[in-house]
Amino acid sequence: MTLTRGARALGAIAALAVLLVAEPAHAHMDADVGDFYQGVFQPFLHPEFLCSALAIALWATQQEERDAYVTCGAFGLGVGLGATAAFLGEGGTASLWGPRLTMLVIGPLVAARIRPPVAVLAGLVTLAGLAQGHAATASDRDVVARPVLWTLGLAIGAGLLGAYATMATQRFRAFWVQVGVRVAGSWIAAIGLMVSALAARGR
Amino acid sequence: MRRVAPVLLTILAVLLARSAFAHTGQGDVGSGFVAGFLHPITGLDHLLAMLAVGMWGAQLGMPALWVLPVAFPLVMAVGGVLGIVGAPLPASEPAIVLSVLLLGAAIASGRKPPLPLAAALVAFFAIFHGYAHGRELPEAASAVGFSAGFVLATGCIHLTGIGVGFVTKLPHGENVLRAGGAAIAMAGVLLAWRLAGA
Repeated sequence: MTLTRGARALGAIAALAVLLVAEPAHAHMDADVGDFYQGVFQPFLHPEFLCSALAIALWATQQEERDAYVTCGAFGLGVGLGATAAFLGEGGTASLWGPRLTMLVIGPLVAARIRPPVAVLAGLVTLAGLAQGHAATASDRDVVARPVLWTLGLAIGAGLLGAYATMATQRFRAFWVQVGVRVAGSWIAAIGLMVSALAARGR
Repeated sequence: MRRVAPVLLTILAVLLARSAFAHTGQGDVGSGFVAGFLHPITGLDHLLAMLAVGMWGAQLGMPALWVLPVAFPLVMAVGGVLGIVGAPLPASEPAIVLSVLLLGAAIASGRKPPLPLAAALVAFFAIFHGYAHGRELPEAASAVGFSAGFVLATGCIHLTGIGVGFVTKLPHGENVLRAGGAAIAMAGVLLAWRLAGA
């Protein structure tokens, strides 16, 4: 596409005008995207939640395809149930020990590439989801206006993270991808160990 | 003029640029991450030992190539926990220097011990490296940021070592790798000499 000289000049003037009125960009400042998307993004904005959700996602990738999606679904369900429990409960302070324990337990399972029966897998992952959903919601429940949307968003976000990771590794089945998943599991377990020790020391 | 105008426009844009504050108000996770990431990289003894682990893994071949980088961060984190809780671990500094010397010598020798023996040796030294990092943790650092940075940096140094170890695929590469191991061992001798004089 060829622009005329006049159009180019107009474009340059418009660009200049935009630059002259430029303001500082404060990314993520008071970004109100609604309760549903706040829920979806919640695990991605908190390092401990992200690490524990990643551990589950990586574990899902090591299972047979059907079991992998069961894992993602169970995690999403657990997160949703945990969030519901946090909304219905008394409140109180959020405990981050659930995500930390998830890192400590699931990380080594990923590193060792353990593939348990699907019932055990689903049970463990649902428990991790419960802890994660409860902790995530308890920390933010006072600012959530519509709990149903938040819970739905949180559960879908958590389930999707695992589903995307599973799809990616099902697509790239190279040996090094599998090794990379195990190394990442080991790193998550190591991070979980250190974070837990630091938290126990009041840090 | 057609060529000059975009340049002038770019200069003007740069002159008018103002700072962008991304992720403001989310604590000091970033600074903790940087502190943790720099910690293993800025200490020559840690850096050389972890580089040697990767190089040795590449030299030993499968499955040591991936078993060592999987095992090392986990065991090092155990050492880190011991350091954080203040558990006494005698002679940690000499053990770290010894790890540089012995891992370098193992690469230089070109011998291939059984995997359990290699993994046990690496795990033993990993405890001391982790302990030193745990003891030196800055007070202000964010726990999760520091831990993630520390573990990722360690993993990256291993991967670099593995990358260096791939010289064995080249003609005379095995000898080049062994020479690198000898250089690391020599650095270990120098560190030991300095430690003895300190």
